[in-house]
Amino acid sequence: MMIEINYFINVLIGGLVVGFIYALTALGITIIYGILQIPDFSHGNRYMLGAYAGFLAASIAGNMLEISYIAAILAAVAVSALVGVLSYLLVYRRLLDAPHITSFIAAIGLLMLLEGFALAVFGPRYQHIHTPFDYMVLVGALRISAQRLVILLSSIATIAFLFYFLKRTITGIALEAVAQSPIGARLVGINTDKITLIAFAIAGALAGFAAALIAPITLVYPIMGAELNLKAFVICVVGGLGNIPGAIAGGLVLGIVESIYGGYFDIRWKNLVAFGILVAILILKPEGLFGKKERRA
Amino acid sequence: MLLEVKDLHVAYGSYEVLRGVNLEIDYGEIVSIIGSNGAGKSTLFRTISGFIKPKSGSIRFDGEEIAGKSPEEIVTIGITHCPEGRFLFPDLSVYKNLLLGYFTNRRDKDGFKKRLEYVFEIFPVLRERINQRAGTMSGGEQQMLAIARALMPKPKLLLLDEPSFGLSPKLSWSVFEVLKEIKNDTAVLVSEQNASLSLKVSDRAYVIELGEIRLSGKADEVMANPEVKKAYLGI
Repeated sequence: MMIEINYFINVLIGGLVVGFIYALTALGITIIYGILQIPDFSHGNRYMLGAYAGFLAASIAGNMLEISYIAAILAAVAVSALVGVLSYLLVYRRLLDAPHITSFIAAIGLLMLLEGFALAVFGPRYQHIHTPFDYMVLVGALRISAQRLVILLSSIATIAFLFYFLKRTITGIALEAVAQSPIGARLVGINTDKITLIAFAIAGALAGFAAALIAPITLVYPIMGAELNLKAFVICVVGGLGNIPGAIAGGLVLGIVESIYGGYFDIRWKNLVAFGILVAILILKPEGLFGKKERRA
Repeated sequence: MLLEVKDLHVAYGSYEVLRGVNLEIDYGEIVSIIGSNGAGKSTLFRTISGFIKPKSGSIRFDGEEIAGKSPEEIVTIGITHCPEGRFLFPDLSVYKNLLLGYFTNRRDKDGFKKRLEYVFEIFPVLRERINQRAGTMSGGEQQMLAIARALMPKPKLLLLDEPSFGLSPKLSWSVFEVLKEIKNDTAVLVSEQNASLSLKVSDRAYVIELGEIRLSGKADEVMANPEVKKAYLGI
């Protein structure tokens, strides 16, 4: 009995870990969508490039695991944020007045471009980022991987910080204002261009952080971004595109469903079941779990 | 002069919406602009507030040329625009809407509190609704919030487009009464379908037709003009 409960809790923690990684990535997509109404299909590759930046930084930083892992996290966050900012400045900003479909196509182009870049530069091999938290800790009668605990705690802290930023700081409130009414934002003197830039930087940073957290467990490879991207998008749609709590809830639901199904049933069917549930949610509630039907002013 | 618009031309593509508009507003004035739908009132407002770039002509505010500046710069200079359609932040509270109204002066925390008290005195209902989401309020309350938001940064000039839209006659009247109270700090250019209402509180008025100013003068003179009576006052 004890063993079964322990197993279940570990499966649940595994689900939460993956779920938070999904949530951090989906948050970026939903924030960008909120501001520009563009589904940024290239977002997953910010995550992937962040992971490679982390891998490179860790290799350069040397053998001290504590230092190299911190270097990996910082590099991943910085590079992903930078790729986000550049995607806006070089691509999306130029398309603001173009028909919406142009930005969709550009996003897909950007997705392939970044993936091709990684494949050409780093090759198809799996790379590894080492973590100093490569051990098990005892919590009561539970043995849990320390890296998983780190992922849980730092994801929760990051999301709490994001909420603080959006709800309590004037820049964060302005970001929500631009998402709700871009014209209203300009009427009160908000520079929407600057806010959009900040949104891309935050979205990128979140993806880079997620990549550096999960890379010691899942490795680093060129299509890691595309794989995650698909899931992150489904999560955003299920949570209601542009809806921040929805992206978090959707990510956690997908992570936990996947993990429980993989832990108790045939792991090969994991994606099918998880996506099946997400599609079912959409059929029952087309506007998403937290979505609203009204449009913005 | 606070605002001097000279020979202003604005075109959408090849269609000229404003054809050489001249208009002036002095400090402490309430000025009405009267015209039917499509006459160019909203275009004039959007051009002054920086949302539309003029084709030619000059807009001087407080002695400075402002034609072609961005909306952000215009707000910072001291002109706010409360447009038809309001463009509030529907999911944010009344408080946050007003906080954002003060965005251009955001570092001045004490100034914000004073302005907040000021707009709450003008529109006491907003104080009661301070934590309510803007989008859940009645149309009249939203209109008051939109005007209050535009007053937050203590503008020198308020561009008020159709303020009585969605308001009961009684509320409309109290909004216009408010204009008289604020006009010493904030001059007002107001466009209004209900011309008789806005002319009663205005100092001067302009009549705009097909993108041109057809008539201007003291509000009571404009109100007494037989053509204006027939076309806009329904008398």
